[in-house]
Amino acid sequence: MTYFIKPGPDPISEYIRNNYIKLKAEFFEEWFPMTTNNKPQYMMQPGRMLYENTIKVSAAKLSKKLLDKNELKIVNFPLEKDNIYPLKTRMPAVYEKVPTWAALLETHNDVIDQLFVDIAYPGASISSHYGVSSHCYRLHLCLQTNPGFVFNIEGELKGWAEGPGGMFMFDDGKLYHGVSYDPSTGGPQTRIVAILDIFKDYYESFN
Amino acid sequence: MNLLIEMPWSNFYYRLMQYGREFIDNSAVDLMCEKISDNHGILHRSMGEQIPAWIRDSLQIKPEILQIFAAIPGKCGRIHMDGLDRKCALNVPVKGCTMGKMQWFNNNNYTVVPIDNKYTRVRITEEEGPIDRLDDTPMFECTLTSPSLVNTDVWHRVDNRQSTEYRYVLSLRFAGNPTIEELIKNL
Repeated sequence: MTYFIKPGPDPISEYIRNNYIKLKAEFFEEWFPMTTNNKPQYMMQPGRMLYENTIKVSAAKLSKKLLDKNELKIVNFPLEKDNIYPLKTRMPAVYEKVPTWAALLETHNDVIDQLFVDIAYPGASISSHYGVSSHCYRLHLCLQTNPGFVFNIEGELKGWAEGPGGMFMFDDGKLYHGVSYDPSTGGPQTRIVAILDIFKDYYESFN
Repeated sequence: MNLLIEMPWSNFYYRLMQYGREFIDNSAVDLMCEKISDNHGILHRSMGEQIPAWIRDSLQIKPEILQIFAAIPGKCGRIHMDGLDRKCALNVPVKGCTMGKMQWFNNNNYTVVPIDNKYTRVRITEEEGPIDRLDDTPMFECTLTSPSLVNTDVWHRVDNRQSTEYRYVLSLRFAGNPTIEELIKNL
């Protein structure tokens, strides 16, 4: 048994396969250069990340996460409807320059609960954790890999491979997962992964 | 030996990228490449005081040369080493960099043939001759997706064969010819 699920065939996976080069180009040429407040570590802090690296954030998840961690005062991120689409509402000039990403979200807005890009600089790690709800599969689409990073789900290890061929997903709400970094195999480049939370019901309709 | 050190995007690097986009001219790239019989070359060069003041003033180490490199889509540049006075560069992706790769090759595999020009002494490989060594295997390759310090004192090239776009990169060289390790400490 493996915890890593190969997505598809389904319209979201097909869209990514057919438009990967455009998605990659838009991200690296128009979106990534705008993430100018990133620090050389995982960008997991709410707030800055939410509108620079995120197209859509799940209101339910955000609310629960912030309440659980009692971070509302630190984050100062009101749960208004506009904040669900941070890139579009807070950085509209960037949103206009990533039409292939926007189309992915807007075409499947009813089944994509969250869409953000996870940026990990060499040496970064994240301790084992699991998501706040189990209503979604979390899909990983690697835009740039670094062989030093290892993903660990309940002891099962996996690296990231670039492109649609390397896509995988897993049950974020049930499984403990974390990321480690091995400098002996690590390269100099940032590991960048687009993450989509997609409702499980969507996949069940295709299987 | 460091071949590449990535830098996080900053407002300064973003502004450099936007500045580099002012030089995008695909027809000029075709002409330049035809002139130098290569598929990758220098589209624009500014030196010293010609470099915009906002760039010079933003850096702690003095930039001596600003260049816009460009590569033709579907083609591969020649393996070369930059001049002896060019150990490393700060490269900022400008446009079309997500598919084309920068590749480095083992220094022991080639023999140096220096070529003088007005500005520097570029080194090409004796083995390469007029034909590029397309099938040689690089020891490391990557796409330039972030501002990066790149080691130009090792055989390298730009392979744009997998790309359908012209590739543009803004490149800065610094006073004192620092190595990549020296430059990272002083930027």
